[in-house]
Amino acid sequence: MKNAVDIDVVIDERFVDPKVTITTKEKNNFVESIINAVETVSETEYPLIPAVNGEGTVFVSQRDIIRVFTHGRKVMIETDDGQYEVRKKLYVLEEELNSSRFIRISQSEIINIYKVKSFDINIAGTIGVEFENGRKSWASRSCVKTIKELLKA
Amino acid sequence: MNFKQKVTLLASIGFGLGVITGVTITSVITTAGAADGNFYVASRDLIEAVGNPLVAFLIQAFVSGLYGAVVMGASAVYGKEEWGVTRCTLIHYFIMMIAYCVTAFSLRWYTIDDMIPLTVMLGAMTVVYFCIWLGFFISYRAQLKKINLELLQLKTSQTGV
Repeated sequence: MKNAVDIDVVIDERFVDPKVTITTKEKNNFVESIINAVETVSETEYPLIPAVNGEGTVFVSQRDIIRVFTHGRKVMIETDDGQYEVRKKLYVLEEELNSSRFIRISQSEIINIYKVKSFDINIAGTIGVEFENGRKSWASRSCVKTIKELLKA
Repeated sequence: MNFKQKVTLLASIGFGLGVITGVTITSVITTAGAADGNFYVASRDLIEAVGNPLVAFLIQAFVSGLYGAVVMGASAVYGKEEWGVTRCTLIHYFIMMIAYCVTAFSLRWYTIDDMIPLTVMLGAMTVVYFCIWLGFFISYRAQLKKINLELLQLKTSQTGV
């Protein structure tokens, strides 16, 4: 008996996050159920992060997060769309973030390695991080080893 | 191990090393410098000031140990990962220089009348610390250059980012 859905798995190292393409005659309830099932698995593995801005609560995809940092007593996340407050401690949020994408660079900051443009060191011997959106930050020396291990993985 | 524990451990090791190196180097240099067939366990000025070679030796050993403890204990500052290499090196450098001057004059390694040997020694130490800083700087820069290259390769070879 043939299954209702044909599933093809293509292994391609270029795809960090699995890409699901559904080829169908029409978008019906059955297809919607498949989409919901895939989204449920995806959000379970790497959940959306609930955050607050002036307009209310938003759910931020981890792929969109540039960095997570503390600002005073608040924990903030930065995306290309702006900064949002997260009602969680930094160490709690760190456990929810995809460890193959996010790395802690100091006591108060976690960055998305895919949003980094470059790392450098200045004459003061401090390690600088420049993000693709032009933002700059500072990293502790111990993160150099961690970054190397993350990139090798 | 927290910072205080690290300092204590390094200082303890430094005390022992300080005693051994201080006594050895001073004995060799003083004996070779005197070249009168006698073996000196401390600087001649210290022996003369104290009046007893054994007491001079014990003072030499203890103060050398203290110097070793201070310098080695201060090296724990390099473990402060959130501090830049320059800051760590400068802090250690100044602690070492001050400790060396106090030790040197206490043990009569140098005299006020002739400051040239001390100046030369401090100059040499400055060069050494500059080389230490430069070594760290070049090493980190090379590592970061490699990281940037790997990051670029990762981002250009992968989609869905």
